[in-house]
Amino acid sequence: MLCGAAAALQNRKEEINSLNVFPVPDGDTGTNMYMTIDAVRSGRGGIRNLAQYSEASAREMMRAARGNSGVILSLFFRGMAKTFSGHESADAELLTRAFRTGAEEARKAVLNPVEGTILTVMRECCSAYPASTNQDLSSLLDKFYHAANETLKKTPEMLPVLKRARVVDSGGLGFTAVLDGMIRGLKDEPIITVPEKTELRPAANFHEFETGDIAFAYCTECLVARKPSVTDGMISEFRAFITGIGDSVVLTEDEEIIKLHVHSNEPLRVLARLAELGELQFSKIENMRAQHQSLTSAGEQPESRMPDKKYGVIAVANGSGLTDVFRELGADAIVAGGQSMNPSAEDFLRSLKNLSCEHAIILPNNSNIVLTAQQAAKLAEGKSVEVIRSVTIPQGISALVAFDSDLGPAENIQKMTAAMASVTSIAITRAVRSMDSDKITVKKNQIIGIVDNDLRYAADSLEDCLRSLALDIEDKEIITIYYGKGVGEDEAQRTAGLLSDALGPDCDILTIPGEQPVYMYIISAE
Amino acid sequence: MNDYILSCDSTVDLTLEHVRARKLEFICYHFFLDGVMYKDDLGQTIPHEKLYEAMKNGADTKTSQINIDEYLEYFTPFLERGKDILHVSLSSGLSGSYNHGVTAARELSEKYPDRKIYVVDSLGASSGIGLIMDTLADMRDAGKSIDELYSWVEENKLRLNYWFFSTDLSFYVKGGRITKAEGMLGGLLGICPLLNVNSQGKLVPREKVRTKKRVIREIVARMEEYAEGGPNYSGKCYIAHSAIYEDAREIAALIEARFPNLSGKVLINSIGATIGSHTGPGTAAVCFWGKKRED
Repeated sequence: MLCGAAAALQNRKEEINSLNVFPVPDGDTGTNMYMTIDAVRSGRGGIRNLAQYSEASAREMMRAARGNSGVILSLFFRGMAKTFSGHESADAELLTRAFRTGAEEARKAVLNPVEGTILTVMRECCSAYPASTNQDLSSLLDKFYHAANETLKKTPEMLPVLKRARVVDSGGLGFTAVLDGMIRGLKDEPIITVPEKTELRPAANFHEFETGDIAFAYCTECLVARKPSVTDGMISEFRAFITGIGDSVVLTEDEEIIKLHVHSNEPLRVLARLAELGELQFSKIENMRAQHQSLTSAGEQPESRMPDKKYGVIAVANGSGLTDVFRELGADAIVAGGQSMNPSAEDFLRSLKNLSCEHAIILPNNSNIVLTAQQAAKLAEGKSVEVIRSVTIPQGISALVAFDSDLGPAENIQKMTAAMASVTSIAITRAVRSMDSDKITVKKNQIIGIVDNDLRYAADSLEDCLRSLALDIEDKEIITIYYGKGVGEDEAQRTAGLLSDALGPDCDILTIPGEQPVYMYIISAE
Repeated sequence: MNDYILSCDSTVDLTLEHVRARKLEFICYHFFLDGVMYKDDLGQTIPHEKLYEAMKNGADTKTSQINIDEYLEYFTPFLERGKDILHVSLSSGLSGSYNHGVTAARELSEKYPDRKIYVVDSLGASSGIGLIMDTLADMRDAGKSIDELYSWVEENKLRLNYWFFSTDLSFYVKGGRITKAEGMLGGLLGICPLLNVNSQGKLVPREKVRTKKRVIREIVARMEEYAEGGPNYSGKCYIAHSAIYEDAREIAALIEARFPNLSGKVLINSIGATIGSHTGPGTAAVCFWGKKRED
């Protein structure tokens, strides 16, 4: 049944994607929902018990959930699984209750539930039937499906933004596709799947490197306060010793300190020899084979080693330039993702697992990713994970600038959150479709300016758009322009020049190649 | 005539003229520029500009602490002439020289039991020690005894505040003398970290500040917060910089405008070779008397 739902979503995801109202190519609701539910298609063969099956499936979906619609869908199924708990099979009464619990659970996760969305469709599809209906499951599901479609048709009346765009809610449509697939699955009707598979998550393939390739297992790093009696000759001797038993040697020294990095199989001998040269200030030994194994078998046994550091920061970003900025500011892991590619809870969990820290902090940097990050934080076991609700890239960067590893977690969260409030985030791109709202009319291919996630300007030229945007950031002092993929440096400099003319000489303007997709420019003003 | 000398080392970051005018004695550090050893003699052998230019071009620099022998050789002639010694050294949080000075002094006290040799750990660096020496010289000129000066400096050295920034922290990271480096670089974003010296005399990055313009304002704000009497501060203020004179001028102008009771103009010095080998070009430090450093 669930496989049917997944197949149905796979077929219709492009249709669902295309319903996205925002004229930014982020239409990925269908993809997100599909990726979420597709998780159940792998390896559920042996289980025939309803409670176990639904419990396991819901868990898979929660881990795989991407985007807000994906998280909502996974929570719906978790609600169903809760109702099925202890039951080997379901009748109409139980199924109805399961649907209702699912709809309630999903609604609870959303901070400000809005009517006319997938939440409404979930609630309405099962609300009209008394819980005691005594009928067979497939006709009950047919009724649910019918009711869902009726509700879906009304969503434009409930949500003005849909009406103006002349579409129904994309998440709602996704949910009806799920129902349709479930019915077909139940009736064993074939669903012809479109043989298309997009690779969404290119990740380094650690399996290609066998652990046997690691000649030296231990990475040792030390800092030593050099004894005054140590001569340069002794350093040379030590260097010869180190290069004799290992590789990747980095040995730096001056009159007062000696710093060493080496890969070897005899870390204790390294330490013993080093201790002759002075007092150890700091030392670290890591087994690289074990690290490799934990990377290749992500998601297996829990680790029990001591955390390496106090904080681990995970940031979501797309584009090599933006990634560099986050890395340079101290982010320990980057989860690839953004406007057109929402990472899953599982992606965050994998990053969290590889981070050896006491407190993890996630910067989702996109409003469609916050919920997924929060879900991952809940699923992460044995780790304190905080999600900073950064909904734009500039907010995430400002938050990370404010981060201070010397402070306690509560103080850091407070400082980082406060820093986000002082930044205005601008995104500029080309409209991929026309749109009409009470505030703005957008024609396809116009340049649009989005201020703090609010689509505010549409203009025929970048110059006009920038002129309007400049008024919103007149009082700001530091402008950082991250130019996207396909924008040349000269072009970015011209844009910086235009903003500089509009904002005056007291404003510092910095251009950085962000290499991000979707947006020609992401601009931070603070 | 005084029966004691005031002594410091070449990390005092004052000009040679200044040191001579205030009748201060000093012992030299040594440093290596691309493997060649030079004396850090307040910029006489290698002018500071030349050092920073070389560092910008990727030259390798190292510093050498003052060893016990050098101290013995330096202290002995004063003792021979019957002078007592008050020597203020670079922070023990940055260099082992202080310990060697103490060891040398202990040996010499046995040899010259009638002489007093005080070696003070400044828990500071650069023109901040310069400001301490200047204050000590005032007290000496006012006729105070070496014991009065010694107890005063021990009592007050943590009241010397150091706030500074760097436009490129990578030299500090290479030198290994800052308490943390992770996430502090931020060169892509034009981050100028704001640092100070803590009560153990170590360099602590305190905040990542976007742009030089802002960090300059921030440094003046810190001075308003920490200086004795706040905006009514009436002591002296020294600035030490490495190859960013214009920025140092800008800070000085802001301070002179913000602190009307300041004693004289802000004195701008160049950071010398020993400290400069670890800061590289692009640092400006503000030194003033204020609240006692506690963390």
